[in-house]
Amino acid sequence: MGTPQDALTRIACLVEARYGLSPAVLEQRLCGYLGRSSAHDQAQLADQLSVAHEDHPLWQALIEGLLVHETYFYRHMDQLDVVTQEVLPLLRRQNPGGISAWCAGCATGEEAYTLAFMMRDAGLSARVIGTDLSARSIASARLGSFGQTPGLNSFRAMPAVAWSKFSAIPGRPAVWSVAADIRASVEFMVHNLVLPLPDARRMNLISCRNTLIYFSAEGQRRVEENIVASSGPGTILLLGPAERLRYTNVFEPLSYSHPQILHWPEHKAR
Amino acid sequence: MFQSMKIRDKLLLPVVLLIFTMIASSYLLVQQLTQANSAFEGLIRTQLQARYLAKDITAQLSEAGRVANLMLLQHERADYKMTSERLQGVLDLIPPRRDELTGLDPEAVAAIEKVTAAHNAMTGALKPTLDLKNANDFDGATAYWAANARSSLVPALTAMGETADRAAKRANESVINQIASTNERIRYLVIALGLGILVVSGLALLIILRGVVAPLNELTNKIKLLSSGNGNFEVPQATRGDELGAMGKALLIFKGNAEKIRIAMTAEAVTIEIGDVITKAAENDLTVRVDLSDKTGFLKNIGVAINQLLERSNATLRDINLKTRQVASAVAEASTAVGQVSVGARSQNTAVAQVSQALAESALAIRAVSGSANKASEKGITAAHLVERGQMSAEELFNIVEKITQNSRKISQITQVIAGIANRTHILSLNAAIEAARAGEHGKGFVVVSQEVGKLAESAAQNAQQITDIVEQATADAAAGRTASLEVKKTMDSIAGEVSQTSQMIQSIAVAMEEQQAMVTQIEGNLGDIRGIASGNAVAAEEITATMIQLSQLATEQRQQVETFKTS
Repeated sequence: MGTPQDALTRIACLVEARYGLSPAVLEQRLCGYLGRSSAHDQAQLADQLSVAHEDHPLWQALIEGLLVHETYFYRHMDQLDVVTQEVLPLLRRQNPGGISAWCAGCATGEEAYTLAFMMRDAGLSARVIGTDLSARSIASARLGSFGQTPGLNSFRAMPAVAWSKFSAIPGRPAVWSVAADIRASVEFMVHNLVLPLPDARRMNLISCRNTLIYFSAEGQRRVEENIVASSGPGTILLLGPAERLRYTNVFEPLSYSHPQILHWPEHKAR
Repeated sequence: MFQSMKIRDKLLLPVVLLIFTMIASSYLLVQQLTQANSAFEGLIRTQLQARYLAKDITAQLSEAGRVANLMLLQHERADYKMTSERLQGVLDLIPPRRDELTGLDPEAVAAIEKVTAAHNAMTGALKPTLDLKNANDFDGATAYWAANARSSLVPALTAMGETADRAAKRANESVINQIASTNERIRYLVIALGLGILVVSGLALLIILRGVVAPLNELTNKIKLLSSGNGNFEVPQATRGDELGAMGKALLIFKGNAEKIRIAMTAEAVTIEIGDVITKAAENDLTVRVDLSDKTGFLKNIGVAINQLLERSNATLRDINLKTRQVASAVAEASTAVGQVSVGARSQNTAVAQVSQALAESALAIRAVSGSANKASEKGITAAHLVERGQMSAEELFNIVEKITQNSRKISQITQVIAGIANRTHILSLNAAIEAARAGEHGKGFVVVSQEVGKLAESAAQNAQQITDIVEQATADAAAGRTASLEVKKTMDSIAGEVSQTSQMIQSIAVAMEEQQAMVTQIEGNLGDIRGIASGNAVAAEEITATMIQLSQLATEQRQQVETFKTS
């Protein structure tokens, strides 16, 4: 039995050990999740979590409570413009047989679908895989339905032309479904980023945006390891505005005007 | 002209001069020695001749004496005659020697006179002696010889011996003197020659020093200067016509080359210095500067350019440092703010949930209120009836109060009568008391009666007063009651009006409540939207917080990176 702070710290440590998420970043979220539960309850939760399997509902609930699913279609438009103009033509040249793209930390799938839209628009044959730790988000992503709710919804930054990728759902106003053929080209799976991706393909494009910010130093190191493991010379990596790789140097900025678009130079060894 | 002489000539000149001096001095010395020698030889020869002559004369004289003694001893005519001839022959030998000696030794005049005297005496005594001999007077002859000849022989011998000794002595002295004087002369000569050689040598040295060594030294010094890197000198020697001039000209060329080398070396040194500065700058020390005070030309331009570069880099980095700090603090602040927003959004979420719940509760409440309002409407009608009855009761109450007021007035009149009776009874009792006093002892009992009657009157008066007071109070109360009952009546009238109004209002409330319920349902829907918005805001704010933390870390890293540069 300890103070609530002890339990909080224990749970944060468990989360970091299992998922590499940074206690500093998630502290508030964890506080919010634990709410006003008693010290005893918190300590009990910590005990239960320490022995429970990953699939245990306690863990699942905790994950859902901790993860920040901030995502929307065509997020970071300036970066995506460069991807459309420079990266996709490059990928097309290098991979005439088709492109494998991985959206690491895809939350409810908006960004994975955005990649699929862009590739479709560029006339590229692509398979996009979207992974996230949250099973609920992945289920939602697979569903491919997005509500145009007031406020910060999934469509807040979507260009008007992209509406052609959606169809209305009868009987559900303000909810839109991603076109079935595009939905079929995107695969979603639950995946813990600190573990290697089960899909052994070499990815041509990896989008890991606003994901590394939630990881601790050790967590980020493991995530980078797995990103490198799924990459090869020529792989393009997209990072969020405040993110940077710290433990691998195989990736280099494609151009200095867009440092968050990186690539693995052809000549560089792992 | 002197400067144009070759060094060989300059060296040869003193050597020739020296050799000439040596030869001259040797010649002089030899000459001097020869002179001294010949003078010495003459002197020695004269003295030795004189000595020889003196000795010879002594020997002849001695021989003459011995031969004369022999002659004197002989008695045979033929013997002494032959001996006398021999004596004559000896005597004849003396004069030429004596004359020669006279020429050689002027000082020997006295001695020579003695010799002459002895010679003369012996020559003069010879014939008489022989005559005596011939006359067989041998003793006479001996005596005669002894008397005339022998006596002068000894002084002559002595004189000659002295002369010979003196000549020997003089010869010795001459030798000594000659040697001494020769020595002296040679010494002076040697000294003079030495001085001469010294002067010549000095001169030669001077020539060498002035003409060769000094300019050589100067050139050497200048070469040394040059070798130490200082080319700041003139070479006047270069105008000379000799080898030194050639050396000077060569030195000028060296100087020119050295100047070029110096410039090259300076350039190298400056390049190294600038290289050091760049190295330090490369090691992140941007406070270093190229010292421009001793630089010229293109190296100075390079130094200026490097300094400008360093200055600008320094300023830029300082600026970046400042801005990074600013960014870091701004990000930290923004992070805090967004964190607060996030917390706020979350609590907003909670609050909206609570409001939503409250709203649901109030919908129930409104439903309850609506029901209550209907019930209230019914109760309002009942109330209207009740109020109507109240109205009647209030009227009755008014009438009763009215009657109480009238009765009070009657009681008040009665009380006034009682008060008048009591007053009169009191006067009666006073009169009775007076009368009892007048009756004296007999009236004593009546005094008691009168006193009691007085008391009774007083008590009656007091009671009457109390009744008056009570009745007055009752009258006032009745008046108030009347007013109140009037109020009640009025109120009842208005209540009756209001109850009917309330009843109407309650009915409109019931209608409003139904509308309200519909609105609450709509608000519930809106609240769901607000909840969604707040939730979205919270999520966005949380991601921004995480981004801010990352940014803050980046800013810190950048600042640390910038701080590895040493800036001023």
